[in-house]
Amino acid sequence: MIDRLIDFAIRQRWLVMALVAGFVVFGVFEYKRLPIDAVPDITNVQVQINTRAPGYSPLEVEQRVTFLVETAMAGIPKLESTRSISVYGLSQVTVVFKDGTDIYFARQLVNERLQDVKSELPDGTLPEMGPVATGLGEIFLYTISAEPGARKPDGSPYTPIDLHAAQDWIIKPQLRQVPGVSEVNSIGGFDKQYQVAPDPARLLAYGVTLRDLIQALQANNVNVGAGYIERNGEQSLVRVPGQLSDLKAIGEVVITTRNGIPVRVGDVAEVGIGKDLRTGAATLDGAETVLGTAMMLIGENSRTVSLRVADKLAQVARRLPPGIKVEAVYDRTVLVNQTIATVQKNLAEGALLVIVVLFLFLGNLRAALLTAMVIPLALLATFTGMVENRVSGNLMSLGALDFGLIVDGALIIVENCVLRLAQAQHRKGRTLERNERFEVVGQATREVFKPSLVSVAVIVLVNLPIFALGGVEGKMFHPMAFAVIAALIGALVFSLTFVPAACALLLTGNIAEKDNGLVRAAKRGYAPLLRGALRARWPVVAGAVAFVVLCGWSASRMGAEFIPQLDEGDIAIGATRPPGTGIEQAVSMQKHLNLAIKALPEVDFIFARNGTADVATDPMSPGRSDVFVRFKPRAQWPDPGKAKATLIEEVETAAQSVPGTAFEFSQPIQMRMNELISGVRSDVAVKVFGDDFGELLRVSEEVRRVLARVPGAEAPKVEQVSGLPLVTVESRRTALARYGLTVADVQDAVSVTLGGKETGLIYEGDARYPLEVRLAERLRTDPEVLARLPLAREAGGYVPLAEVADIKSTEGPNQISRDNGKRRIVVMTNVRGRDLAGFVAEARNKIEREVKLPPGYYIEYGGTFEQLASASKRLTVLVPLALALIFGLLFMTFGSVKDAVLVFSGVPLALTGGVLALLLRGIPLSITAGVGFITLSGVAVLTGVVMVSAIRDLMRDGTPLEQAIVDGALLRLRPILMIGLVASLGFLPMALNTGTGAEVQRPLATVVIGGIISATLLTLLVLPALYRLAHAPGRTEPPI
Amino acid sequence: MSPQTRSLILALCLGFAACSGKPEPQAEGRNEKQEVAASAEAPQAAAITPEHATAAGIETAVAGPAEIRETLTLYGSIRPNAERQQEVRARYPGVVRTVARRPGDAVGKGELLLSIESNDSLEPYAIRSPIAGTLLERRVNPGEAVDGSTTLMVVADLSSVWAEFAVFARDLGRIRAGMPVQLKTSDGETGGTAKIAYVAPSGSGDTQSVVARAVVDNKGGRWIAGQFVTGDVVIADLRVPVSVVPAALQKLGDNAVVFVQTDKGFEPRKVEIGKRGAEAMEIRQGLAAGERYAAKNSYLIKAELTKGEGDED
Repeated sequence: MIDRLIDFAIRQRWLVMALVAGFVVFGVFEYKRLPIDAVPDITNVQVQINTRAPGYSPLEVEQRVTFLVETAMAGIPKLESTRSISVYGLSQVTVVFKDGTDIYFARQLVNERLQDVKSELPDGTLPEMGPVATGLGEIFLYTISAEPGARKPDGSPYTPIDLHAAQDWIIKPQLRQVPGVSEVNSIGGFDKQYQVAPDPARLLAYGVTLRDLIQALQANNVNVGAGYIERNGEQSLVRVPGQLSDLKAIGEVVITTRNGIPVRVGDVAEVGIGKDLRTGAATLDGAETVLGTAMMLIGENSRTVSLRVADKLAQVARRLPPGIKVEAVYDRTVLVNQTIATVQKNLAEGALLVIVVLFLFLGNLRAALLTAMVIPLALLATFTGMVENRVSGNLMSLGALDFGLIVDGALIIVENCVLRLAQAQHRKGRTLERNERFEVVGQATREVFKPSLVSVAVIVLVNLPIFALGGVEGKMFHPMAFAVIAALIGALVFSLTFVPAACALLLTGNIAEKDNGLVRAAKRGYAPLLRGALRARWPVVAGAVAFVVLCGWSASRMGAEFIPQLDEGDIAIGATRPPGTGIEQAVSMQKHLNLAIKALPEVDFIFARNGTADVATDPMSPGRSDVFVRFKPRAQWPDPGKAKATLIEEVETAAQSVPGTAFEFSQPIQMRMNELISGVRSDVAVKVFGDDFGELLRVSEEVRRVLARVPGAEAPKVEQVSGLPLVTVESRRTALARYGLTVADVQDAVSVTLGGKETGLIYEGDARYPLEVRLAERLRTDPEVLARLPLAREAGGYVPLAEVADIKSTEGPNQISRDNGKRRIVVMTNVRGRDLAGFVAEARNKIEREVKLPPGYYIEYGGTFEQLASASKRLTVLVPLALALIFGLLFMTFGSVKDAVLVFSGVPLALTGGVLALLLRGIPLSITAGVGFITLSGVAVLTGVVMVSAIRDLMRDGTPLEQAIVDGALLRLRPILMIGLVASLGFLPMALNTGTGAEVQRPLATVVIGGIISATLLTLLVLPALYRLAHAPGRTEPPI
Repeated sequence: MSPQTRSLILALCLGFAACSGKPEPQAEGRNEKQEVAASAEAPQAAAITPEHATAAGIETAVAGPAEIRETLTLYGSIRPNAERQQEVRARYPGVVRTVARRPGDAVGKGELLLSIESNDSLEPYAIRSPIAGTLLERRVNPGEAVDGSTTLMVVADLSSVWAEFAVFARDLGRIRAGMPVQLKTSDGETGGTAKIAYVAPSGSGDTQSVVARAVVDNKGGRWIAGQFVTGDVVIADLRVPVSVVPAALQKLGDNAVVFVQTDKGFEPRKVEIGKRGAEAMEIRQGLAAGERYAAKNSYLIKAELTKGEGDED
């Protein structure tokens, strides 16, 4: 079948060319559709349900909102798990679905369940699903600020309220319409409110209660439609407007009459424009600002979407009120462009080097170019495969492509065609006829097609275990494995169709019959070495084995990391202040922090999100901030050569000089990913589940003590969940009864005066602002005012709050976390100096014996060790299976166990070079390096197959063993050197590049280059020696 | 960077090695970076240098003596001074002939108010104002028959009025006659001071409160009977030897603390608070006069001391 395919390609070469051209057009079209981002998206399929419960403390939020929402989600199809947090004023339930669930289907299911639960939730709370976005979704951030000295039309300076209003009512509605934008979030400034601030003393004076005031406002602020009247054939609509429109109108609302004299809102309350009780703020350098975040829809192309957002924002900015300016502070395009530039540069340089090598060895420019043509074709095939399978392009997936590997198959074929054509010309003493040429090309392709097929199959097989990785590792590396496999299969298909057709078309005229000087020199050097190796075969093989053992030993001593972290350029700092830090306090601390860091000459600007944004995708307490530090371009640094790590240390020192804040350094994307996945990041997590908070804390503390005694435990820590200052107003029911009051009277009075009560909306065009009744700020903050808050009595007169309620200062839970519907506290520990599995077994045993659990409480064990367990279980089955398959493949190729083993022995030999190269460059082991080893084993098998099959061909023709080995090795020297050189030179730019994203690719490239050098050397010297040993005279088995 | 990553990679590499019959030794060492967890005990002092403190906006002050005024806010209303109010009645039954004054008129002592024709003598007799003041009420008009039980007019001397405040059980022991009280109208305007003249010995069963009364000078006429009034009663006004500004106090655990500046930085000092004023707080124990403490932005020091405890998320 393959023969027919090759023949067809040669005969119908023009058709093949036309098909290839058609494919190029299609491939380019697909490439445009490829979603490209800097890193793979490792977010799981999740739907967030955010419910705002204004004024509720964490305990009430959990009881009244979270529990109901969570219960409603139980048993939803394809559910993986639910988790929730309840913090002040906000409930967030995250429903995680099984990987592969369609996000819109998942949202549909969640929405159905939400409909049922809505009626049970307290008034004023409305559950909303989070935006359809992932951890990579925050692609564009901008700030809105007033230009210095800018004034509003009425002459007053712009306030944070105005900036927030500009974001909410001018910028956001327009950005939301940009295709690919899922949500525009804002944080900072204040929401404008029409505030009615009653004075308790005046309420008393007029005998008006808060309830009267609220009812009056509610009853005087609606427009009503009243149908239509048809009169004399004409129909008129009836409307009864009653909406309040401005401050004056609000002040004029009549609450009641006293002796015929109206008591108006303005008589008992101050009416003004006020600020909301915000949960979040934003700072830019040393000033407050409003920060907008455009979030990208799942599956969109981050580069195009952020470009569109930037365009739209520029348009919107021109139409803003004069004096308000918008600045982009984070644009994913920058990072993606830099990353792509790095990948492109590597690819272009690699491709150039590959062409140079091909030309040098083949001595034929046409042959070199046509081999190199496979690179773009295979890439287009990869893009097509990725688009069709919804795999995103990024540093991991595109960066791992090795052109050496891609052109290997084509290279062997072209090399053999050139060789055979030259030989045929030499035999005939003239250039070939067209038919003769086709014949020779077909023959040459068939000869070496087996090694190309085997090499592709081998690399596909070694990549397969990567698909077995689950969780985060899986999401990280699946795209890469997919890209590599797609590229290879694409390359294979083109090698068998395009390459022979192109060879037949292009390799006309005189083909240099002899090796060029380079190859001749190589052969001259190689022949004596080879003979020497064959003579000293025992020492050579023993040395190789010793070398492998030595390298294996050093590999086990090497450091390891998950994957090298992509340097995003900017840094992000998670700033944490103690629980209970107020938002205004946090903002003032943040400003100081910003200024301290800004003082560094390398820093361009710095901005921060404090607390929770309007759309609570990441509920943070007011004391927590996400700080983004943007550096100037290196050229503008005082010392452009300064290492990033040194700079980060300097930032850290500057940050430490500002008291009161703890820091965690990270990068924007990395930070967001961690927040979303929110798995426990310690090695072992003991989760204590139960109902009573105090009891949970007690048990957790006990677990911590037990854990601390298990050898290997490192600083076990109980998750910080308490310490939030609370003021509790506890009604004394008997006292209330004496005054004829109810608990509801107390609750209403306190919640309205302190928390505020929204009584309606005031419309200003599209914009609408709440009309809120709340005590004036100076009164709210005074604890004495609360104690003396007069409660109006039915019978007339009043009683101060403190007479009927106890006002206590306590501490309560800062946040309440639940996993799968049960409260939990996590005790975390890392493990050093012993194996995880053993540690977990011992810890589990000890905890079971020593910690007494109250009924209904239970403990679960989690943490990263779980992932390790499942990953190693899969890998222990799949890696040997893949290797067995490779071996089977080799056996099928050669029909000889011995030869298969011989070729296989190239794998460990190849790995040694990779290990050495890593050691030399001081790069730790990582999964990327592991992928390099996978590539290496493919190359090693390929060169082995090329060499062994030549030797076997010669032996089949009757050449004696030793002669066959020498001849075969010399014959295959050129392709083997070429394979080695293209594969390693193709990666050379990647190994040496320092651009954005290079650090992720460097280990891979290093491993491949080092490994290929060793693999090539060892294939050329050790393999013949081994072959000689294995096929020692008297033991030779006839080749099948 | 975690141990299982390493194991994963090794597993991958090991797989290859294993099948070629050359097992590699299992790795044991780990090289993960790990932050050393903060010690459970709060540190003795927050190491903040004076420069950093100034930069962060922490201001210090010296603990010392201060006048402390502790006040209590009461709500009440203005009433006419009952001691300066007179009801005018007819001495003999008769018919009102003339009424000389209208409500609101100022009347001098002995000034003619109205004349009544006695039923007995059929002679008019004059009724004169018993006090100087303002005519508050006029309940009769010429031609009406009156007798001695009818109140004809009410004259009050409004140059002095009563402010009557409701005192609830919780505050009863703290209010005594003689305490100064700062008056405010319900609009929040200050209206001079007075003294608590009287705290009623018996209360009202209905409101569960007793009346505290201040006699208010009203020569300017700004107080009107019936008006609501707010009074800040100064319940303590004394000089204390050691005091701090209220913003210096922070809660650390269950204790009230003041942060004292030392060579090492700022040290939390557990204190016992005495009298609380709006501008100064008495410190009974824990702080000596002359010590320098963090007066402004003291929360930063508390945050510095407790920042390690907060877990992310």
